[in-house]
Amino acid sequence: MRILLAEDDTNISMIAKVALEKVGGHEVVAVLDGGQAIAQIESSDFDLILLDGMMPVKDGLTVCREVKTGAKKNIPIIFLSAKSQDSDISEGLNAGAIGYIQKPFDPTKLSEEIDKILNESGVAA
Amino acid sequence: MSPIQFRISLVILLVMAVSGTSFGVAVYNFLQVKSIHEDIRTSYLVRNKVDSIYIRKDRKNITNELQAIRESLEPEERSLALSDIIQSYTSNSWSLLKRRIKHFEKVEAKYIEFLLPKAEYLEKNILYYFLISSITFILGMFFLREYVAKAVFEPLLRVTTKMMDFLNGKYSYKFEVPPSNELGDLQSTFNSMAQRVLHNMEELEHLDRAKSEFLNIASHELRTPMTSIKGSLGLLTSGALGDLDPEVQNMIGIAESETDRLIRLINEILDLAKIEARKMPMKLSWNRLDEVIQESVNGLNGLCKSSGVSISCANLPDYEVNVDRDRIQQVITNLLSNAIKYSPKGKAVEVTVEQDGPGPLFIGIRDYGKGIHPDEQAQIFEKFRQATNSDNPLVKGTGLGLAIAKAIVEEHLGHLGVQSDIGEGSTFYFTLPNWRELSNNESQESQKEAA
Repeated sequence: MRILLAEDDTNISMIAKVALEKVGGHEVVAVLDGGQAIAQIESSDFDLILLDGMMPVKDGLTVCREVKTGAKKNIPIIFLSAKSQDSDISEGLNAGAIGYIQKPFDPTKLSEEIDKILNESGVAA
Repeated sequence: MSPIQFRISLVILLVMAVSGTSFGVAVYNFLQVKSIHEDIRTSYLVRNKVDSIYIRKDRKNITNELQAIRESLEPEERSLALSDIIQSYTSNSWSLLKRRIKHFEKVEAKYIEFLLPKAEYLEKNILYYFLISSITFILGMFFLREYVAKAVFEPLLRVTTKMMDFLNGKYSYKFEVPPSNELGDLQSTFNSMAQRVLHNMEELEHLDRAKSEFLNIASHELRTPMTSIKGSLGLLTSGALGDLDPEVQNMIGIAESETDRLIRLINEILDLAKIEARKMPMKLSWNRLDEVIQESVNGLNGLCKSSGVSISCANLPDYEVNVDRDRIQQVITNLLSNAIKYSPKGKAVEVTVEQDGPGPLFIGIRDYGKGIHPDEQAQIFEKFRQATNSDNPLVKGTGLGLAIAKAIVEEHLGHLGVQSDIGEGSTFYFTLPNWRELSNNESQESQKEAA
């Protein structure tokens, strides 16, 4: 699976990338802000987008809404965010995401969790 | 003297002067009238006595009596006339006596004619002065009442109303420029007081904001690096990045478990700070107590197995409690894991739910450990305190578990306590005031489901 990972913390980004590549066997493109994320989505094809909530240039919610109203609205989006309030989660889901993974996440189980969300939402993994 | 008091004193003084003087004059006139009436009476007595000269035989007595009266008669004309009578009487000159008696009667009649209008005049005076005195007094008191009502009670009522407003949270209130009297002093004192209260409130709000900000920043800034450390260590130990030397594996294992402890400590410190700063609102809802307990018990399966201690929580009554489910589970889990850690291998930890009439529910967690020394019982609820008598190497807590449990229970208006005897084990209990029995239908349904 080709995954776009938008996360501004380079360490967490690196860990998630390694986890997804080594544990899940996915191909991961990592970007550090919402602007780059949009640019990548427009120029390349992905099977899944992982979005951090708070990022420079454009935050996760904005990116999510732009994708869901654009040409590539069929790419599933999962949030990967430290915000843990019920309102944050429902806001993310309302913006069109299919799931919400809370930080801190267990990198060894990240792929598993993503598969679970994809299965539950009916999107073929 | 302050203005209102000065004015009141002035009015009272004035009333007292006018009313008192008039009253005094009236009394003086009354005394005068009284003495005039006395004079008139004396005059009649004397004339009677003089008339009785012809009838009485005791000459000597008569002479003495008349002599005595003569000395007190005024003016001189009257006493002279009486002297003449006495003289004629003693010298037995009867014709002269008769003339002199007539003369004396004339003098007396004239004297009384002089007295009567004077008495009349004085009597009128008494009436006038008494009226002046009463009217001044009544008007003065009336004026005083009006003045006190207007100058004291009305403003006092206004001040009270404003203070009530302030008390009810209308903090914006401030008095107009206060008048320079006692009520004004009261108003300006209130103003200063209100200002200080508002200032303190602002300061508190500021502190409160700073505290929230600190908590938020601390949560985020502390958790982010811990997440990275934990994540990278987790990937290393999972073997996803290739196999490691046993020694390296060991060292990374230590780093990982200590990282876990540090994360737990950070979470618990932040939780406690949030609860104590009232930044963690309890999400109350009705929950079945047995379910809440069972879930906590299930979460501790691992710890039970590794320490060889079992949990018995059979036959819990069908109660519902109005609580923040996650938080109360945190309390039960805390107490249970403590109980397990301090229990000897092979023993059980017992969970009981008791209730005494309409009072709160008592949820007790009993262990058969060594018990806690009475001196230590109060301290264990303090932050970073742990009982020292555990043989179990698993006891490596943060020292915050009980403090958090206590804070959460107190947020539910309950109480957390311990009953323990050395050698007998300990029972940690907490109370929940907000509970109800499940209605029959519901409990039957749940029994059917269970069946």
